[in-house]
Amino acid sequence: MFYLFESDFLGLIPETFLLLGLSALLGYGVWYEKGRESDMTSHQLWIGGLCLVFTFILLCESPLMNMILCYNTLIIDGMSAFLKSLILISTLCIFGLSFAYLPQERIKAFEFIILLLLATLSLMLMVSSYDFISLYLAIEFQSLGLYVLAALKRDNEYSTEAGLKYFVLGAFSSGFLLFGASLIYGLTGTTNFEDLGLLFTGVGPTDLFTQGSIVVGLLFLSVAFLFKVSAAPFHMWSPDVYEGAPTVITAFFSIAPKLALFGVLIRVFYLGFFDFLFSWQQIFFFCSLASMVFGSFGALGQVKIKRLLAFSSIGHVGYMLIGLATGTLQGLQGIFLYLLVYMIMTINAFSVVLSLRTREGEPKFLLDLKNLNLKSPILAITLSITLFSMAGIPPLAGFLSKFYLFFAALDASLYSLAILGVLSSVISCFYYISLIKLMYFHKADEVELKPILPIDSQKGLLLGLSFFGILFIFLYPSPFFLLSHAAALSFS
Amino acid sequence: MGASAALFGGALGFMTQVYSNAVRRLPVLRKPWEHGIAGLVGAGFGVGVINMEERLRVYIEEQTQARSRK
Amino acid sequence: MNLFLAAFAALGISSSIMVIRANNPVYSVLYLILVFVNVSGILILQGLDFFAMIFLVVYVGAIAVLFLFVVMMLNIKVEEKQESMLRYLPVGGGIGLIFFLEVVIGLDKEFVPLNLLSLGPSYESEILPEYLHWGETLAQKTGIEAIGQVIYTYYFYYFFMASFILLVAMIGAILLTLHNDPKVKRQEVFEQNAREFSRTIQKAS
Repeated sequence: MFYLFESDFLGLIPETFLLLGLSALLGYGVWYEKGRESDMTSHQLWIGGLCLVFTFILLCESPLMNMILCYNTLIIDGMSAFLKSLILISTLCIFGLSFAYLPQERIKAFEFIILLLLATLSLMLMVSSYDFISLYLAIEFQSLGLYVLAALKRDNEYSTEAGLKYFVLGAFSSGFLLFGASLIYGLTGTTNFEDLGLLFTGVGPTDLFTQGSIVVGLLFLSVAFLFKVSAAPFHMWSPDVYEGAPTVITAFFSIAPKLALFGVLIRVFYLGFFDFLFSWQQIFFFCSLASMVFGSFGALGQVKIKRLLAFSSIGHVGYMLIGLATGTLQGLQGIFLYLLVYMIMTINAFSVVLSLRTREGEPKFLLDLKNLNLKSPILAITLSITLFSMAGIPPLAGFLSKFYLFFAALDASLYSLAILGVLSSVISCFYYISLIKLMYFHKADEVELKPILPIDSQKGLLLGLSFFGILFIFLYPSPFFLLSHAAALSFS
Repeated sequence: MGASAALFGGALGFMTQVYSNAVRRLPVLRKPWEHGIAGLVGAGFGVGVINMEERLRVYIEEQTQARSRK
Repeated sequence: MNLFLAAFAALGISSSIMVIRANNPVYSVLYLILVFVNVSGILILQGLDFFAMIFLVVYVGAIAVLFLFVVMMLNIKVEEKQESMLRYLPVGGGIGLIFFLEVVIGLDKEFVPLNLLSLGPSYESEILPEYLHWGETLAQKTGIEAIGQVIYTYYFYYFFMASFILLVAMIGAILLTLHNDPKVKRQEVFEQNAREFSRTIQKAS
């Protein structure tokens, strides 16, 4: 007997497993007795984490390296495997942070875990989408879940505001994406990325017949994506959403969707529209510049921790857009390396912020970090190392990735971008170091010291892993270089 | 190479467990079997990284040659 | 045909302007319904009968009516828009103008069919592009049949994804609206049905 998609399902085994696992969890949650929800969320976190681990193993051991699935709607290649594994790891870390956070904030809804797993699934599908329709469906799938997660604390005004803002602006940018995609479809008659790439082969920027409206379509597409990764002229929503959402969800927002969206950006612009390099290079050049500048100057005026982290992530997005603007394989490799290091640093920063919880609740303002050195010296050292690494001080992981990206920019003769990148990284040093000053060199007044609550084992482990990761990636970076090289090779 | 990777990974795992206990303000060597497990996992990780590196080298070599032949 | 297209398009655009310009939110929703009706008219002109009907059923029958209910239940007062309009006009209008010009400049080169430029004797329409309709030279299927043949076979992935999106929407709606407050009294249907008369009524002494 002949099946049309016989071998396609083999390529989709990790996603299918994740889907089945989360369906079972959903059934379990609905069936479980009312009134004991807090037990159940912990069960679900354990089982969901196990599910993610198995998915990760299935993904790594999959023998199918390069494949186009489901009638040209999905693709598996080196980049998709790399980014999918990063997405799985980051969700796993978010689960680790949630073990203590959910009971502390009295979030009893088990749907939290289900929605996170669904969002992970959709991000994985987004990374491997190969067609504008599947891309749009995956993006909608992901954002619907994330809107709900942002508004999770219904009785908190900030959280509702975050959910609404995210929803309205997300729907707006999806509209841009659809408009750009439909313009391109109207001009070319295809929605498949590879078909677009083949169609445009050799079409230079001088070809008047196809240029104008394709570039308008490209502009709309890139605006939509830049909205979603919160790059600078379109970053207004992100500090509000990051502040309002529950902190573990903020951590998720600042890691996993960015991983997937950079994968999508690379796939669309390197596979579909590479022959229009000189048109979209300018867009990314401008946005990368603006993000670096806004990220570092905007963060100077912040007084709240989560807003500061939001601005710092805007700055990091700017550095990663440098790699995209180069249009070279080296730039791609730099982006992948940066994404890996960014993931580790962000997880570390958020786990420190979550560990600083006192009896009155979690820390909101930067002043709550005051004299952290006296409260918990180890946490203070960890946070300082992370901040140094985010600023790009040499013997740490953050330096390595920035260094690589700037060199890629220099090789692609984007000198101004590299120089301004270094300058804005110096400015960002200023506020990172002001935080360190706040933690160490502040006059101690014994009255204000509130003891922080004990830290649970999962968070301790996460802190340790990410701390040593930041310290030791610099010592032996060759496996990570090779990983990012292998991921970037799928576009050569 | 393999032995030193295992040693280094093991030390890293052990240190992670020590750090984790220290940050939680527990006695640093509480439940020593946990440290043992962490060390073993770390050693496995180190060896895994070395193996992965080797595989990736081969893969990149293959792919680059396949592309240059085209 | 072209007359119909022009009429539908003009009505659609003018009523969509009215959607955002009407002072009364209820009127806005009614104009929105008018937009949907016009768009489905355009879809019928393109030969997409099934899509037109689905558009009407889903958007007018379900979504617009839901909007209408919500708007009427919320009892929003008629607001003055003059002041706010002038405040946002410079920035919003500027950005809107830039986008509009970009699209128009980009599009009028490529979307104008070539035979319009040559102005030969076969020149008939100003709005609809003229081309050989390959679809008509083949064996025809109705729209819904064609959709069914494609979406359940080659493009089953899209169908699956749509169902996942609906699943997420369902879970999200439940999560955001269901209050599991222990203080709220609820009807326990099973307990009610399982109740026995003889055990419930007891003598008081």
